[in-house]
Amino acid sequence: MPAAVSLSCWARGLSGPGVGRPGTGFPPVPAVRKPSEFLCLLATRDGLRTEGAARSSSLGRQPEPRAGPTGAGTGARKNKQAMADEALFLLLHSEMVSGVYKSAEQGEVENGRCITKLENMGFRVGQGLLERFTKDTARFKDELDIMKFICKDFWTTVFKKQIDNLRTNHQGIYVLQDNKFRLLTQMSAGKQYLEHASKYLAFTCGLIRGGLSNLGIKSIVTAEVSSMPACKFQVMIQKL
Amino acid sequence: MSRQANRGTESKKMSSELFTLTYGALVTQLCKDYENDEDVNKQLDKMGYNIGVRLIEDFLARSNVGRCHDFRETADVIAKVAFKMYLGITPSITSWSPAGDEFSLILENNPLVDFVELPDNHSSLIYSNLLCGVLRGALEMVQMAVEAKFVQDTLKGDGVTEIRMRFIRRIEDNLPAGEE
Repeated sequence: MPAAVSLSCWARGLSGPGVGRPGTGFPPVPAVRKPSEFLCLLATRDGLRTEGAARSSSLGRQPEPRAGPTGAGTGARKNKQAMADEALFLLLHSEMVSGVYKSAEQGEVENGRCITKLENMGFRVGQGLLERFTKDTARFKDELDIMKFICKDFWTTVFKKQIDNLRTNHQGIYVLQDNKFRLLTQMSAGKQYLEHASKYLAFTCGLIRGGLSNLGIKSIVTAEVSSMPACKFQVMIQKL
Repeated sequence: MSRQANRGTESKKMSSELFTLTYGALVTQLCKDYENDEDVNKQLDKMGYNIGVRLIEDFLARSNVGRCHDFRETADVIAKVAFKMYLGITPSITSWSPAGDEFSLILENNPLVDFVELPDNHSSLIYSNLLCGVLRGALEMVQMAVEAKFVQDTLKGDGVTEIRMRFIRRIEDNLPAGEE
């Protein structure tokens, strides 16, 4: 088993970014659960595939019929356009990360502080994005429905692909696995930069937490990487 | 399923909102980190420069534009191709200086400021200063030293946003001595 880098991308389910957020003294991260404790979701309705059910078919690819009404011609064009502003976002994100870390070099040196900063930025963005995204959508049925929305629609909007695997233990813990996480694909895939991966996940942890918080769910989101472009986000729902 | 139907049309707009919101979060964070607005402006410009230096690669790969023969042509490419491609807007080019080394880009609507309102205590913050850095960095990589700065900004009550671009000089390749 490869040594998993456990990240301290803190996402506290408090009332907002920065509120009551001390630099230290976070609760310890619960150990990663045994896979057997989790039930694989997904094969249920449309969309995401489970590991088991869809192993033979194209894992993670969107089923054909849902390709939607957009014609092939406009689709290609649109795709190109979307790719273009994606480049801008990717560059901005990496600039943000290096900016935050550079400013820390001069003064405070604490790694956790930078992660928190990035995470808070993500929180704001997630909140705003979800606010606008769900403007005209139907009401969500339950927590699972919300998580699926995050895995599919939200992820597609932000990262141009769906989450590859979603698991839960039905006790408020969800694990979202992305086998080719967009913000890590530009880094070399070996073990060399594994320790730096956490910097590039903090923003996204915040994004998820902010999004969920806007849908009325308080959560703690952490991330871990064991081999480079793949990563897992663990969402712990905080019961009220 | 209404949620599904929405997605196709919304998704493009959404991804530009992702950028806008992310940029907003960044500026907010910088305002918290630095004490005065000048430092924030400087930092934004520096970040923009770093982005521009890389973005030009992406731009050249994607756009198929050839070599520009003069600064006017460069201005056209910036406004009609680059801005269109990355921000979805086409600024107009005006106010050429007689010598042809300065022009203005007029942005009718600046997507970066979609959700922004400047508070009173940040009157000297140049919110979109990142753009100037991007332009400077990108052009430097194609051997043009330019100066870019905001002269009008809708956030500060002007009717339009105007970026003034000035050509400084052509950067000559400095080959090490003895090499051709």
